[in-house]
Amino acid sequence: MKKQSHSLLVADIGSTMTTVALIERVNGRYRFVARGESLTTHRWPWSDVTIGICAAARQIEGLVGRALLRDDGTLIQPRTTHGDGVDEFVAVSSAAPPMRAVLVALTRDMSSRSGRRALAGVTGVQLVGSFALDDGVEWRDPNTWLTALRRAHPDLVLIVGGCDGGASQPMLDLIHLVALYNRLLPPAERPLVCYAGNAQLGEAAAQAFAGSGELRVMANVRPSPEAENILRTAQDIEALYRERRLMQTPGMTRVAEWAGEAVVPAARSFGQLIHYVGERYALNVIGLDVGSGQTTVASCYGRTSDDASTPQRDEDAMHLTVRTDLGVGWNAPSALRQITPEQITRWLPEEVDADQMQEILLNKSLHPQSVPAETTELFVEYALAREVMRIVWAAHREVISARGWDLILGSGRTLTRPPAPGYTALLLLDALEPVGVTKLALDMCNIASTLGALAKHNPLAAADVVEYDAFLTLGTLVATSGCAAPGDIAVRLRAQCHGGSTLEEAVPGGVLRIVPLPPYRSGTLVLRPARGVDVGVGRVGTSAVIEAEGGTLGILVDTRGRPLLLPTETQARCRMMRSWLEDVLPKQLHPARTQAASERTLCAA
Amino acid sequence: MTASKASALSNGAPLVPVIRCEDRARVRVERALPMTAEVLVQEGEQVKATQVIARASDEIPRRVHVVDVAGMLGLPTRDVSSVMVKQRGEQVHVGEIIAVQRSVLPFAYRAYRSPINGRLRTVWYGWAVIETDGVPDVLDILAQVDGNIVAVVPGSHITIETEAAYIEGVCGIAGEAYGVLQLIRETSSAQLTPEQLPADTTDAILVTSVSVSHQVLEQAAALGAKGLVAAGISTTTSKVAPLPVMATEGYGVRSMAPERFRLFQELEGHYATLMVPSERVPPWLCRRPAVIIPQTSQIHPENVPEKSALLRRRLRKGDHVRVVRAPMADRWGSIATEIWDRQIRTASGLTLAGVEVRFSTEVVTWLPHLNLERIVQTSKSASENREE
Repeated sequence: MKKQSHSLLVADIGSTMTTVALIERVNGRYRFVARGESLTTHRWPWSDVTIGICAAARQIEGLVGRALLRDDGTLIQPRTTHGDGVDEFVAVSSAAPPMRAVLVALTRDMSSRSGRRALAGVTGVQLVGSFALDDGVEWRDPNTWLTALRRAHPDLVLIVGGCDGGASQPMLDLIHLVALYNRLLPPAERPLVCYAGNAQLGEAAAQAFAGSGELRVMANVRPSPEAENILRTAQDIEALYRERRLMQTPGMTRVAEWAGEAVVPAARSFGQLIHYVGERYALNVIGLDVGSGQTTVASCYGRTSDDASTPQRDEDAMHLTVRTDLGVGWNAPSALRQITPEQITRWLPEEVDADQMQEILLNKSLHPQSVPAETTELFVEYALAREVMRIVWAAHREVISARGWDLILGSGRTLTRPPAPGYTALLLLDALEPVGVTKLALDMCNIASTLGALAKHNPLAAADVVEYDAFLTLGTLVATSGCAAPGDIAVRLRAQCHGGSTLEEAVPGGVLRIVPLPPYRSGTLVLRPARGVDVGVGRVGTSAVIEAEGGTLGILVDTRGRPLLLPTETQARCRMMRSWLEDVLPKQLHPARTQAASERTLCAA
Repeated sequence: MTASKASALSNGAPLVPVIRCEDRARVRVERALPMTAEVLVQEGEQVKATQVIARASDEIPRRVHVVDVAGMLGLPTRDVSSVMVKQRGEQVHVGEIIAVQRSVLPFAYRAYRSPINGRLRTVWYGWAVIETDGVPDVLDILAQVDGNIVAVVPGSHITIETEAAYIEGVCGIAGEAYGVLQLIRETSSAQLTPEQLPADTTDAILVTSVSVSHQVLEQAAALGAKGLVAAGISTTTSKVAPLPVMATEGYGVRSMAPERFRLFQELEGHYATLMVPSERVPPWLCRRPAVIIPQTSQIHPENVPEKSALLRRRLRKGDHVRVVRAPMADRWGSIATEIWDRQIRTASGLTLAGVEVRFSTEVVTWLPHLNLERIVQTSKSASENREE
């Protein structure tokens, strides 16, 4: 029987920062003890990620007063009788750049869609092109294909199409086109080709690629018109990313030795965490991880739907969308190529011209570890974060059905290190535009990405940390949809804290209101919406009674309506943004706020 | 291990990025080689920056045009080779017959004519591939810097070592340039204008202490400059420029730190290499753009400190640092204390660990260590930068 671990070290090696956390067994439960943070050191002059891990671990040593590392920087493992070292080490990483992938498909409607779905959930792959034989008559010309492939300059080509035993000649043409592209390149520049089409052509594909580069034959993503088999292909491609990119990161082999197994992609681990939280607490959960180089959205339907007649499969319960081309740090230039300046500046509470905005973001990309020390720079970074999240969320919504969400979890330094929690709440609301009653939580320890991988090593430790330490509850959000003119009453609420006082408030349309309810307290909220307003029950004008949980913000009521409509005139828009900020920020950050929070506190902390 | 030892290990000093601004350094340049490249130099050999040190013959992706001969003649793909009248490597011209399908009757045949001028590269799967561009058959790999060959690994890389001034920038537009450093001094405005460029800039690498626009770059290229070093570049020229460009401070209107500009002044007239690497490599292979100026004076290698430990160490009191974010962006200062964990609140409201930085004007302020990078110098401050 495996000895129970007392002490665990978990590391998240990001593209910019490395976070290391110590988890220990205290009074029979695993608890988060301390955290350290350092630059990720995969770049020159360090060229070894373990240097960053050691620097972060040394901070923890200073906090807990015992050694985790030897003098030479190696991990003390297992824990010694003196208490030094740790029993287990778990690492996840997003430090490696993605593989640029091109999807080559037989048909746009069938095979291309399946191929896209397969790639959408793969961590470490950036789809840079998707071409199908039926895209137009010009795609019958081999030169169109060669030009498109040359422009995309992929690291990986995924060929999909044909049901098993179905069309063969067009598929053979596709296979040979990609093989020809490879033959025309110098050997060192040839992309890896994965074939996941008609299974009967696997051997023909292998023959076509003899001497034309490397080919991997995988399971057909669409074995029949009615069936899709994307999970297996996605896993195979992710394994390639681990082998060819993640494990090539300098120092990662040593990290894998410490961990005793391959390092897990951070986005995969984050998805596993969201899956766990959804299943464990029977909640519909969204997780957003906004990073310097990539942005991840994971969702899980853990709450049994009312009409659930058949049990859900795992791949239906959890969805993962990873955009390795959208980040708020070193990948900001890529984000700027996909987002117009107007889309970013519309979220700013002060006038900033497009050039200045771009300068701020491009300079941030040169020093992705840096933080905005001035408010204009802070607003610009948050504006970019909103747009990045909106794009990834829009892509994610294409693969999930619309349902109510019980919990929104924010992760990544941009979301978890705000000057005040109101900033994060506003960012999440503006990006996701949720409707109804939802809890908001933050990964304050910045360890969420490691917990999915930790659960595989030590499920009990992951469960305890999720239960007690990992998340900071911001509070409960009540977001209305439907029309209530600004100034008119949108919803009347009556909040009764369990064992405390009662507060009644009429919230006008177009605003955000905070009803302070401290952490670890709960209350009953009676919501009476105006005609034409829905508080998330699915019918306009219908009252609702809900149980609300407190948090650092309390109960946040959003009557701005959905979708959010922003004035086109710049000054009016800036005024509106300022007013929304004042609604959610403490008085000392925005003196214009008139009503002191202390006067309206529902329960004493 | 006792708590006191752990505490001794953990002084809390952070790692921060480094930027090199050295008037004297041992510089190693590694030139990657294609697998099949022929190496033309030997270890110990002295080379010049523009000298060809290796040559590859089949590593050049060429522009091609593919013609579907099988489709045009209605043949199975395997039969196409037998109907080709042009062979691999032969020149073809527009309208020239490249394939003929004959029948039993001598006058009944179908011919396929080339739609393009070029050279027949291959016939495969019923397709004839015609190379259409006249690129040279070989790829020449240059030394990039004047120096000694210290390592040759065929199929992998050649390393050239030199003693040189090494001045790094933070961004640029990819390319390599070789020329004589020439400073532009008349810059009263924050941005250089095309009129302020000197008339004679042929084969020069220009250096200005202010920012440049795209028009300035075009004018500099038209005047014959080989490359340009500026404090800042415009966001609109962030990808395409008519000549290699390095920015020492970043994007937008910036001003070069006086210490860095002084070093350029001291080195004016020297032959230099400007290297701005491509971003299409993994981050761990990507280096910052830099100007390398080989020294003509003799420096014994043992006098040049080995850099790796110096470059990789953590921040400490007395280190020279550069501020990378507003409000004091681009200013150079030095670390004034050894307190690393003091929490400071910035004007934006963020609370995070800060360090005390002293600037030359005797201004002392606390700044987030995340907004600093350590300057590695060897000139006047070599003693301050000794290894740990």
